[in-house]
Amino acid sequence: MSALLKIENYKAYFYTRRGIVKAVNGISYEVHPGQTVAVVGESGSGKSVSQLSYLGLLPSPPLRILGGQVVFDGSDLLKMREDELRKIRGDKISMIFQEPMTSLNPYLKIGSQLIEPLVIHRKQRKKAAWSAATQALERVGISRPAQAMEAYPHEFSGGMRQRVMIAMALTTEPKLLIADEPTTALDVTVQAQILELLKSIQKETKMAMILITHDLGVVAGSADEVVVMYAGRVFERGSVDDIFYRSQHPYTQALLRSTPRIDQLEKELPVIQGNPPDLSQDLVGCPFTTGVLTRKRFAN
Amino acid sequence: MKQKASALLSAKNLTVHYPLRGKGVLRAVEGVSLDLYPGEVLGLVGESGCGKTSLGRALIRLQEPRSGSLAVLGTDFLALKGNPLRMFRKNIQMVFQDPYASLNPRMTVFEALSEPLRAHFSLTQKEITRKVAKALEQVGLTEKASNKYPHEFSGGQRQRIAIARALVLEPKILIADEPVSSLDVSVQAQVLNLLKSIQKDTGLSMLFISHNLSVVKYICDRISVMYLGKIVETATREELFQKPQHPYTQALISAVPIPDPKIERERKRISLVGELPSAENPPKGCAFHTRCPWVVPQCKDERPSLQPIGSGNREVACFEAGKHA
Repeated sequence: MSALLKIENYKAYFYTRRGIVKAVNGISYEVHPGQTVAVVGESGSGKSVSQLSYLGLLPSPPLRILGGQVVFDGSDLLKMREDELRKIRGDKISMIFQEPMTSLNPYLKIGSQLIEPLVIHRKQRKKAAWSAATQALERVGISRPAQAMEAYPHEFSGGMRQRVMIAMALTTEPKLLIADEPTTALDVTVQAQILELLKSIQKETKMAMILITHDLGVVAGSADEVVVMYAGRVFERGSVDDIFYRSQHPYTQALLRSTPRIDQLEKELPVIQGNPPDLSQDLVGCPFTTGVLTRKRFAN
Repeated sequence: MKQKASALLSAKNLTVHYPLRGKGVLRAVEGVSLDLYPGEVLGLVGESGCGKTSLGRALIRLQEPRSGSLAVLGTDFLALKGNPLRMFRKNIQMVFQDPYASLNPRMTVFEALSEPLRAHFSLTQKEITRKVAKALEQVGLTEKASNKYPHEFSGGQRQRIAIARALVLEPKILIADEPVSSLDVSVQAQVLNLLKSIQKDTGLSMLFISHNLSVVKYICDRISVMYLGKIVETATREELFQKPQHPYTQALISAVPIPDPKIERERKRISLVGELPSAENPPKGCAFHTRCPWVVPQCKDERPSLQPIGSGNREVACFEAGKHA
């Protein structure tokens, strides 16, 4: 089956006063229909910027796309004009973000926000859209959806708001959902519910998902494929089993070893020395060994 | 073997209420009792709104408890005021979650670390310099850090500075409120190992507040689980994770993702129904009964108190504990 999304040698830099930040420095991977690809990395790895940038969601300047291809459903997104991108964004490709409170407009009722994608992208009339949106709320597990449509975001808990975000992202039946740390701000019991919900929706609709996260536990439970990013590059990619059981890269291995596990009793957590590199500095060679070899030396 | 007599810190029936605009009250902490023993790391774990941060702040009187008693190092801590209170505070220090907010951006590291010393002691400049250097060394930073400002450091380094600031007074008790939650995984491990080794070296007692069960398991000896302002279970680390007795603890542990795909594919999760009730209007009876898989009529009317279960100091607040496999 051919790839739904094919990212090839994609480069995007920020041109700032302090220097050029090579946020996305030549990444390549694919996403197939129905698949969940986890993009995992620490802060500054480029995992979020790599998705936001090709959708036209970052201010440009200072962002500049330097090269590569991001082919979605046969068309290169990087070659599209803003009006063409806008037709795809929110329709065939949807996004959900980490902080549902800042993604929802606090001044508008939930219903008004939920119908927006349907009215704009599917040209539905308000009444029809309202009813479709109410059903979407029910699908994501909100009890009493009709009342919820009339409520405001601040009346909901974090978990419920995230469900609303998911409902909003799904109303147009997107082929690809990009979820940027969707459960990081949520309690662990709510996180489990939300991840289950996403899984069941994917089973029904064959929607593909790019799951951006730093949480390896979430990756292990949700991903089919994993892309490990560091300093704007892909250090390793493979199936979830390959990455967790047969990783070939020292950074991936170090990340796995320094993650505390609830099912194990560890005497000492091996540590990666140093800090993630400053991307505004020109990095020669492999960024994991920046400067001295300290970053590469970990206990054991 | 009950060790109540030798507890460094003993809180009994603490309540913390926040008044709400208009009317009503947010019951953040409802009648909580806990003991902290010498040389131990006690974990306080729970999800948002459970009251763990409010409890941590109440134990250091950053937030005054509305009622209850608090004995610290044999002293009635709540009865102290004015200068005696200020002087006593050197025994119990706190590290906060956000290393970007807890350090004054206009103070150098030296100024930040020497301020507590000046507030509590009359020391010569030489002695102050020595103590600051010692605190920096304890957290793995050199004297070169002294003249720098917080913005010149990374998140993990700032957290080290915050820990050094807490240690400079050589407290007997350290309260750490989500000290690694804002840090990247690789940096988190560094800071956790640091806290562990400091605790071993100095023998201080630590209250480690966190929502992250995996982290709590790594660093704590004993753990108390909170839900809606109350402690529902207290056990040693081994006991809690091998055989949790409270239904909420079981659900919490089952919800934590494990970085192991095979295990994740095969595990059966305990799903909690519904949402967390509001702390302004908690349910009558047991706070957990609205989402509990074991609920019986008694749970809706009566509030279960912490009762000993099994051997040792284990406690659980549940009418049905021990009846389910």
